[in-house]
Amino acid sequence: MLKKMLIHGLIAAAVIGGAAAVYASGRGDGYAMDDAAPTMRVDQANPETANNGYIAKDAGSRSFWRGHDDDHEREHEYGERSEHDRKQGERDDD
Amino acid sequence: MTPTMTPRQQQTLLLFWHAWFGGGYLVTYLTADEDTYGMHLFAGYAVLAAVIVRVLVGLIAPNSKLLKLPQPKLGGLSDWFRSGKGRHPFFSWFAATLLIVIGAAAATGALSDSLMTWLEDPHEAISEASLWVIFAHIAFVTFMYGGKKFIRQAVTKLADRLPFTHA
Repeated sequence: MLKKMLIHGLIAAAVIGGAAAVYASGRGDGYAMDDAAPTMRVDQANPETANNGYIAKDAGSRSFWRGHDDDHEREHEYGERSEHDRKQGERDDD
Repeated sequence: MTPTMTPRQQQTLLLFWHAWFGGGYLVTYLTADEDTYGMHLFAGYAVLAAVIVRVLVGLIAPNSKLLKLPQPKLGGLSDWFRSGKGRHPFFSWFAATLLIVIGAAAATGALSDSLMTWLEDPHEAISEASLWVIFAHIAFVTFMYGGKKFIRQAVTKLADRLPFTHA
């Protein structure tokens, strides 16, 4: 009888545990994150683009193909670098 | 409820409830960690529901031998220890204590989750205490239903093996 009750209890534990796991996965386990502050530095700097820590699919292309408005900025950056290189006497292909 | 249920059906119901209660408590205790808080919450509410259902069934069927709520009495305890006859009163004492302690643990847990967060520490303390009540309950039941026989057999075997017991 005791053995039977023990087995019944374990089966019930498995059923309740399974249901609890389903509930927890739907809920997003752990404490509620509704009002949690972002912990990643990138999230703190850019709350609007805060993500889940994974690199986005378009992360590389976005940084490489910046929009037209940024072209002059890039030229300016290169210009500054060239000026700097001239002063320091350094070359990129050294 | 009871007039339509046979004693066997009542026993099945009680066994089902016992499995629900015990299984729910096991899951609740094992998931009492921040990482598994969702599971803890779900299983805790399952335990609370089991306690409420048990109390309601006990109130609906007060005349049923199996389903009525446990009613431990101090007088019954002293009588049993004097005569040693009848059902051991510790059964009802343990049943009542477990219902109260685990019910309190589940209720404080539910309240501390939403309404009264200051109940978090009492909830943890009651839950830890409840584990020891359960261990005592398991030890007592095991002793009563199998332990006595096992100990008697073990003592007999040991006595047979001792050289000085054979003249």
